[in-house]
Amino acid sequence: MSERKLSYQMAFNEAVRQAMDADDDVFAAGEDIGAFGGVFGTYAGLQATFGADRVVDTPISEQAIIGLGIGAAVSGLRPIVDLMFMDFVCVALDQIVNQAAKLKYMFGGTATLPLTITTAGGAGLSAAAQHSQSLEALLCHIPGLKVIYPSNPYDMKGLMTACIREDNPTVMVKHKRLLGMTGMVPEENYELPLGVARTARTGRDVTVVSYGRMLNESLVAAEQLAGEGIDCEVIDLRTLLPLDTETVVNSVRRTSRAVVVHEAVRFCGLGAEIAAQIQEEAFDYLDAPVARVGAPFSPVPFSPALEQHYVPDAVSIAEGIRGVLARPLAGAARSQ
Amino acid sequence: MATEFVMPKLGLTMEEGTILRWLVDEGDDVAVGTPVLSIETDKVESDVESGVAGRLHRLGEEGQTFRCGETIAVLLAPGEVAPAVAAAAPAAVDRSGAATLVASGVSWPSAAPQPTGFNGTRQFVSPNARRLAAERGIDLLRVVGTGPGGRVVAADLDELPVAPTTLVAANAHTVPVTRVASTPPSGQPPVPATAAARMLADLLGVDLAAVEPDPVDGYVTRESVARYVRMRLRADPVQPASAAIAPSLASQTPVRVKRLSGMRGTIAKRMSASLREMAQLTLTMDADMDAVVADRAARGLDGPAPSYTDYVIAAAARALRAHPDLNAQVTPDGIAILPDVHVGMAVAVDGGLLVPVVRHADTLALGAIATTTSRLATAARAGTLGLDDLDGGTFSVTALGMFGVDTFTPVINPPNAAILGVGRLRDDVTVSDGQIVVVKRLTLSLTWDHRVVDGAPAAQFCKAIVEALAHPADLG
Amino acid sequence: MELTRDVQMDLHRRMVRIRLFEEAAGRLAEAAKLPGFLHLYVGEEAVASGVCAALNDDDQITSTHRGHGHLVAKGGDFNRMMAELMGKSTGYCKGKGGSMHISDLELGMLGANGIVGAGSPIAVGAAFADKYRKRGQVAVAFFGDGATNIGAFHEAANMACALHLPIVFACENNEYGEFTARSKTMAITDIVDRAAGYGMPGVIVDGMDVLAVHEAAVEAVARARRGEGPSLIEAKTYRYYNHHGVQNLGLKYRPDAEVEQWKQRDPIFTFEERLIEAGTSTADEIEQVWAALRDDIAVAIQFAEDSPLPHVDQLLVDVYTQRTH
Repeated sequence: MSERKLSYQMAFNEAVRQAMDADDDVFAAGEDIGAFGGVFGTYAGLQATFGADRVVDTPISEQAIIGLGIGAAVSGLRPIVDLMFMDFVCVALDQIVNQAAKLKYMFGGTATLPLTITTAGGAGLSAAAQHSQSLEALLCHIPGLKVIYPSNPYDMKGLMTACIREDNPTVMVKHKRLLGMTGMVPEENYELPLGVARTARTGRDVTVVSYGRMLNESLVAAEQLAGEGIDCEVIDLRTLLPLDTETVVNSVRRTSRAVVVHEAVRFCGLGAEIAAQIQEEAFDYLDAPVARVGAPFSPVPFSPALEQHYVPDAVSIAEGIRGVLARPLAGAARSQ
Repeated sequence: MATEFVMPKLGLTMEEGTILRWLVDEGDDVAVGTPVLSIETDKVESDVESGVAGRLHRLGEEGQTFRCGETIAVLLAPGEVAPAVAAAAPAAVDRSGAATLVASGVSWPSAAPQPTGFNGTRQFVSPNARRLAAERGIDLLRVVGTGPGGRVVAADLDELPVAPTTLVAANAHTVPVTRVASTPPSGQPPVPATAAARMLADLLGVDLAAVEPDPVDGYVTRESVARYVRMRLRADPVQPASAAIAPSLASQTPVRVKRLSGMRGTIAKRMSASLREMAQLTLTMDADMDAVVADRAARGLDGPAPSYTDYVIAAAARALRAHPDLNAQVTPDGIAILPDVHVGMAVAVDGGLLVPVVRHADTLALGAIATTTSRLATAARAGTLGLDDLDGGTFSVTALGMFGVDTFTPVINPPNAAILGVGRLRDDVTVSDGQIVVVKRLTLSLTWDHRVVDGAPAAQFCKAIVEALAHPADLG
Repeated sequence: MELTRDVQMDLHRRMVRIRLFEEAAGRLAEAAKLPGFLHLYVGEEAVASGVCAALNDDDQITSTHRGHGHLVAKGGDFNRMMAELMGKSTGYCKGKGGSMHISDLELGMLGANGIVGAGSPIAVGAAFADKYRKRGQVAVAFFGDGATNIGAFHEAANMACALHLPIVFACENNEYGEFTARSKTMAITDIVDRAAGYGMPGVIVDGMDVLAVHEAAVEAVARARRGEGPSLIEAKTYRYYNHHGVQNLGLKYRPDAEVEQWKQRDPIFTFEERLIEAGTSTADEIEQVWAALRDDIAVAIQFAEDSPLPHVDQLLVDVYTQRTH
């Protein structure tokens, strides 16, 4: 088993390449992914290898792109269709929500849709309000979909491989600012299971639940807090739908405190569902309410001066974690 | 063949329609496509055409409202006669089938009604701290919270002086407590308690596990919570209240575990309560029994003779009449001297002990006492004692002599003030007129409550019993 | 175009099947025996029949909310259709789809659709798979005049032409988009004018003439199979009944005279006249076709009524596919 350093972006690329090698039914379609290799370079070199019939440049037509994937999937192919920015999910929402997610159910089980929708989300590049959103909460609300969000190159390759092999419509979200992140990635093909979270750091004092780029920021925060005597357990969800509640709840039962961290807007973000489930399953173990660190309730601002306050980072995450451990009245005189 | 004409469903949300006016007269012919009537639904008027031909027989009247699918008329074929009674034809489709949405795999935890309406300040305690405090037997009232808003958190419990690790004794009763979703974490069943007890305990920060439950049904009641709090308030506030040392884990794997429930549990509770609440001590005194032995032999010629215990009961009863201070019980008002003498007799039964009562023992002749005790003992062993037989004792007699015991320290049976232990009838040696004489003796062990009488009166009382035993003929 | 007697009788039979099914469904709906929405195809039978008769079972079609006609024309089973409309577990979709999502993947019918225009992108996907697989299959997207105004249609039409896919866009122009006349919602009169805008040929046909429809369909399908790309057929047709249901509740938005005019050109009766006149069939034979199919409808209704409703433990089934590989 040989590993080598690979970027998040190339880990995605390798997963697609190996899947297309192994199965002729796998093809990719999207805007600028063929000749140009994708605006984020994630499809680089694939059209040269597999040809324009298998790595297809489409017009700028998000609904038709998803529809293409749906029709091809229900006819027996295994499509990967790309939405350039996660914000454009909204343009194609009918095809994703009303068609792809529901065809199997509405047809009484007769349809199978082995469709992978991939997209790039996240802020921090001054791409402004319509090119920076994290909309995973919208998608997680839809029965019939699966939503995956890797935080590192190793997970990206394994999870993308799993998404392609999955016989349900899956949405694989890449974070734009993780594309250059490098890590050790095995050369051979491998799969990571969907619906299973990973404990990225074990700890005693508080459970930090996160995914995507914020997972890495949470680990940085955890290192800072270790110096203050706070031992964080950090869980990388990896799959958002279906949610691995069990791993999270088992951890909270041990630590008694939970903080959910995501880049998406805090209000009605995925953290709300996770917090609700934690308090349902581990109420008697909580020493503090479940906290959520997320973006403020506004569109993503353009100016870096504002955007830096919008996106959570290790500093704001550490502060959120300190909050659930706070004992403001400790040290005051005691009566017995 | 007649065709039913129903109130049509003309829109997805239409549920009923009102007949505004018939457009065809009764008995007239209707062709396919003829508008037959005008209806109103949701403030919209509409004409309804017929899909079949026939002669109209109207059933509904103008102004009447019908649900979609209900018959409002009949179209008769040529030669047919209108039916005498209108046939009601409600819509056939049962739509209620899919109404229940509790599907497998979907959990719908129901919220339990929580006690509300506390007056005064509440102590805020995190769920985790509450659970740990219950497990460790920590009284939350003693804990000051350092979390936000003064919330007690687990760390606040850790910083208390270390309490001995306790195991909450298993309860025989499990109470169906409604909780929201989660199960009790430590696997211990919740303490059985009335709702009123829980509310009061929650308000005062009392740990229900530390409160003594009602011995009859094992529930902690509001009264027992109140009693517990009063006790704690009376106790030295600095020292932890002398709570019962809870049982600890067995030092080896037990061969068998007998639960402290039922009679065993009752005895356990009453005996330890007795020792806790009274100031008990025991004196012993030998009684010469030659006269009793001879008297017994004489009576035995006529029939079954009284037992030695019967003699002691008789003697004790008469002694109590002469020493009424010992026929008493301690009440909240003070030491109550009781007029009637009812002597309880301890009877060993399977797995325990019962103390049936010989009522008005001081008025009964020895023979009557013997008959009574015999009946009571039999009934006790058969489990057929009535409540009357067990109630109201003012003094108890307990014998261990048949097991070779001479002296022991019996525990007073609450609410009595004293108990008399009877030892072994034995041959003893004494000196009389300088001569060594063999006598029959047994030892009386009198335990009394020092709150009620002091040593001297107790000794005098015991002496009276010894005296009575020396003159068995006077026992009637 | 010279068509054999068999083909003509087949066209006739398809239309009568649709007519009888839809009339029965309409009556059941008015008797409050069918839950939910129902959109009836009565009057438009020639379009579905003419087009589907040009297709094989493994050619795919996507449909509209008015989808019973397409499924029947493609060979749909009456029993399973009626059961689905009644929400029974023996229906095509096990009672989970209903009229608006009725489908038969084995017949290549990729579902009626509750979203206007949403079928076209899916048909494009099916056509993509057809081209990818190189087995000579084609896809047909059915849609109404109203759907040509929605974004998804433009995207689908454009993408199909850009990618040169084996697809036929079959437009059923019945002059109304729900309750509003087509003339109020677009500045052009003929949908076919849009075809050139995407780079594909288009034809107008009389949607009440099954032979004309069939001829155009055969040509368009052959073109697609030859790899020459998409084309558009605009069939001018008319629905006799309301947008949904049979009788109209509320404001009359179509003049009675207009309805009557179109009924004069009824696709089935006019075709029957031609068949008899040309000696291809007789009145008796035609009546037998109707009678036999009426029996089938009655059997289907009975089957559906006797079928069980889905059990609540089926509620969460088939949300996802379980992995088997």
